[in-house]
Amino acid sequence: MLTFTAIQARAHGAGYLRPPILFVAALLLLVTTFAFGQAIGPAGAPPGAGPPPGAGPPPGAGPPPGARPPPGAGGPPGPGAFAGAPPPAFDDGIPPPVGRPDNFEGPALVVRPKLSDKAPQPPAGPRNFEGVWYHSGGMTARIMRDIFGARLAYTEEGRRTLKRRRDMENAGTPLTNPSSRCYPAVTWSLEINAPFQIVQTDDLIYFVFQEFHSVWQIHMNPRNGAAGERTFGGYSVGHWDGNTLVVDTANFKEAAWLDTAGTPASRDLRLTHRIRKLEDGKGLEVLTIVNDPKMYATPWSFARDFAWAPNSWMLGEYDCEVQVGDAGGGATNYGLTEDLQAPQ
Amino acid sequence: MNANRHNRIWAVLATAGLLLGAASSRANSILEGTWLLTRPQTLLAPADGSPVPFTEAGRKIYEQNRKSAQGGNFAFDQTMQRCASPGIPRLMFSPKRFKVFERPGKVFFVFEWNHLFRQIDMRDDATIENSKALDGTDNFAFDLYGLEDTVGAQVGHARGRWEGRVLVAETDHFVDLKMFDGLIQTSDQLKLTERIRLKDANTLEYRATIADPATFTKPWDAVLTYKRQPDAPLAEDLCLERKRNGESPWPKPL
Repeated sequence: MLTFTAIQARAHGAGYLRPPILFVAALLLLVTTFAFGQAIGPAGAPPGAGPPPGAGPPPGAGPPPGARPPPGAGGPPGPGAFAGAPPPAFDDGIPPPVGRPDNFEGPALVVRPKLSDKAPQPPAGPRNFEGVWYHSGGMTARIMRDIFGARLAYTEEGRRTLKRRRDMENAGTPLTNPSSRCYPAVTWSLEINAPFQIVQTDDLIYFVFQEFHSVWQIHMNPRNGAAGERTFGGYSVGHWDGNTLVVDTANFKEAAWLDTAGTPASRDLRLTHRIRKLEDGKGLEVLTIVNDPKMYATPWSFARDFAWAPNSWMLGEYDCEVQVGDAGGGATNYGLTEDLQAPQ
Repeated sequence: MNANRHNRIWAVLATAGLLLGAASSRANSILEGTWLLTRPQTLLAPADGSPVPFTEAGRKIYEQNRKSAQGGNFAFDQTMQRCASPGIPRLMFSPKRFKVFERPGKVFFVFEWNHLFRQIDMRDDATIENSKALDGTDNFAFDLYGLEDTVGAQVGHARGRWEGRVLVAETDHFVDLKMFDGLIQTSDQLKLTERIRLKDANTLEYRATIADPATFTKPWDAVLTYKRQPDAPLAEDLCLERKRNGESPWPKPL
């Protein structure tokens, strides 16, 4: 299980998000308030001061083993906060998936392939993401928590949408999603256990996924024109913020699934991806900021790590449509139940 | 006067430098760009004008498919039927644009038609060996290219090399009974030797030597040409959506 501090350590220790220390302190306080309902005392960071005592590890440092914040310090729970005890029961009325605990999360450690010293190296430039990348963090079937460990704040519609998908899955009649129909789904594609290829030009950046043949086309040149009609993949505009690629995506034609468990999004979803290489160039981190007032009370974010993967250099063939059934025939898409009440 | 002339020269040099700089990112690439088939076609035939040298079995399936297509029945073709991948060589005469990315270790094609891709592995044997994970955590699909007894692919397995400015790819490991073009069906013994080169700055030529002893009595060559297109973004193309709207997934062969 990922504890709050483990998420922080993963995020910051791996070189991810390196905001000013004050910002980190403020975020820690905010999250503590939000997620754990602790009162923030005067120990909160005053303007111009460093982090308060116990406000958590500085970016890049792991927490000392067993460290706990002093009572009332407003710091995050130490790694022992959840140790030995199950996480707080989820009370959003959405039943857990059959056969796996609802708090399932993959291993917290960043896992990278063990490569020979002679293995091909990633391109040197910090803005050159080209090559093949593969998951290196834990796989998460259902996102459930944001990057700070807080539960997702669904709107009533968001909760209803997810619950229906879960109920159908548990009833043995899981619903189709865009990917199961071989329609593009970028965020979903980043969530599945398969590599992808990045190629770049000055004007366009492509993420080409091995499976479900999604191609994410990012427009880097405003002269390419603004988004016109809605498309299934949405319209993505990118720019560089230092060496971080920032991609804004909107104008979706239909509602998407954010993960394989059906974490919902509406067609009015706006996504911001912040993508950057880790310091050694062999890791790629993708922070996804989800802004969808139809489904969520507040914008939220989650992060994923990907490893440089010369060992998966040649993507496999995934001929999606051969598995899609004929309309009116006995088989439906992958044997899934067509979602006739999909949200808009 | 002299100073003015010098300034002008410097301005010209600086402009030229900028232009060169802008173009230099792919200055060494040969095939990089966006391409479109010059003459739409759904069938391949020998470039020398001779008939396709079918074996008896090859001709039989071809005639079957032709009759079926004449009757408007495309059940023999998963691409026409349900938008499945046309594979190689068929993708090379897809009716929409494609982009070629020439990169170290791989030449990568992104097709506008149903956003498919193909890869030509440009690594030498040593690099392939050195790329393998020491702990066996390779992409499971990677085994496709390492094992003789695994199922083939619609796009086959392409290993390429440069012969001067010609990209030569040896492509095999295809699925059995794949649609080779709109009517011909080939076996898993199909082997292509693909030669891709620039004829001029804006013309790409693709020449494939086609061998499949189960389907053809002898190897034969087919040639395709493409015109360079502006490097504009690709449109979203969803074959199944087009099919739903009553359009043909792929141009009809007859």
